[in-house]
Amino acid sequence: MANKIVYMRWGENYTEDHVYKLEEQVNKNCSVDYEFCTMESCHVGSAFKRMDELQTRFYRGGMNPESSITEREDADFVREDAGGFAHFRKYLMFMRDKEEFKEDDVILYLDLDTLITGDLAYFFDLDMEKPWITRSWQFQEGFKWKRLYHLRSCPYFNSSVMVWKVGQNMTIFNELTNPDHDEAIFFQYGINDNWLFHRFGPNAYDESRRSWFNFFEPEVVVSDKRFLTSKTLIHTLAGMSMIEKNRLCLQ
Amino acid sequence: MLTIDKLNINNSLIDTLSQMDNNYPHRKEDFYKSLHPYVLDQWVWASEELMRHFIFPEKMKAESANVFANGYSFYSGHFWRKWGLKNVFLYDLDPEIKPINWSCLEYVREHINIDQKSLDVLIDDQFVSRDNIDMVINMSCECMYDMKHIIKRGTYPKNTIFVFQGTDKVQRGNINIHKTLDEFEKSTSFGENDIIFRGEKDVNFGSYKGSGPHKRFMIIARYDYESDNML
Repeated sequence: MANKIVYMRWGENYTEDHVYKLEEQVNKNCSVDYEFCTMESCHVGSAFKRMDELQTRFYRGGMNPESSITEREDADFVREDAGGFAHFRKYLMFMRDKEEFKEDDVILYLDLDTLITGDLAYFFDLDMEKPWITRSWQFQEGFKWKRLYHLRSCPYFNSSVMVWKVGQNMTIFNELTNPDHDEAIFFQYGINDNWLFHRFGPNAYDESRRSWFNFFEPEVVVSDKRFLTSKTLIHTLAGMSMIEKNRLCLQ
Repeated sequence: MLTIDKLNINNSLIDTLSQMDNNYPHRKEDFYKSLHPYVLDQWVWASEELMRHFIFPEKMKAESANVFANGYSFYSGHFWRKWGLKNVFLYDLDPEIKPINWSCLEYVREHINIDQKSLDVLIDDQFVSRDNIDMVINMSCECMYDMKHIIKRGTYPKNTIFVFQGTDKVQRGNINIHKTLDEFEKSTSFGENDIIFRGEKDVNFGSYKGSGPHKRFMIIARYDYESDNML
């Protein structure tokens, strides 16, 4: 069994500098053996082409369809309402992992806009009966995730940090690429995690997919700096503008 | 006593408001919004046109209906009863709708069997009832992908009546708006011979959220299988 720490880079927002900085942080903060790598095969092939075509066809905003925030306050649509399923590439990892890695490998995926503040060995010592994902605990405040559920917003899933075994999330890939529904998915969902939360979260109608993931403990992976503590291992910067992210990631 | 067409709605409303206070305070704003006259107006419009086309002169003969994206359904229960429905299947993405609807539809539950499912009718269409469904109602087509994706000739019993409404209103959550009635019609799979009613109306209920000036579109249809047989 090998530990894989995987990143993905696409588009123009993230550069080789982001990859270098992330690798530097990983090198300083992982006390177990690992391989730091990417999965280039997620950017090619028929599944990628289909999703890319659906994103182009159904994105209704005026910005970059891969942006996950509403960049203009005066925009008619918030990003979530503009369709186009930003960050669909992440879920291609769930299909490509079988080709890239060995059967018993464990994969820790990290977004490039990630600050590592503790030992990543934690993520390779988890019970892997179910895959793991970050929960956006801040959306629990005022039951924000419940209030905005019908608007396909504020998921309590955050795919910035995930851990899974090879093949363990193939069902997610299959659900996303089901030709009966993929148009509806790319039309209705602006951001990948809202879809993942609806289809694999606690309210998924299909019982076989309900509560698919385990969550890291609230303080371990944090995406809202108010929740940072001495136990925090990763601070993800999801939801920030690129200027803010770069200020923190590239320093 | 609060009544709609002599139905006592006092208990349903009071129980629901109490439930909102105690269990769902974070959903109060949504629920109050669902009581606004502009919501009622959508159902009144549908009811008027259905009556014009079915009850006078033809009986509607609809017992079971699917209602998509129903949201909070306090007003709509009244219309289901008026239309003679006996079984209503509600489908909404939002799971918190279910307990609230169970309470606010108390005033019609003696007359109508109500079944609720929290799902996405576009993606979970395999779980949507089709057998013996006489009517499919979607007053919120603007909140989802085109109806033609799941409702096509042959997907429901041949006499099923479809009542769809959409809008040109830009607002949070309206992901599928249309500028014109023709555009809205193209989001359905109905041909010219299938459409019983198509129309638009200007709506303006003042400055309340989501109720300012906009257009609503409605199509009532039933697939015309007789013309198919004549070809």
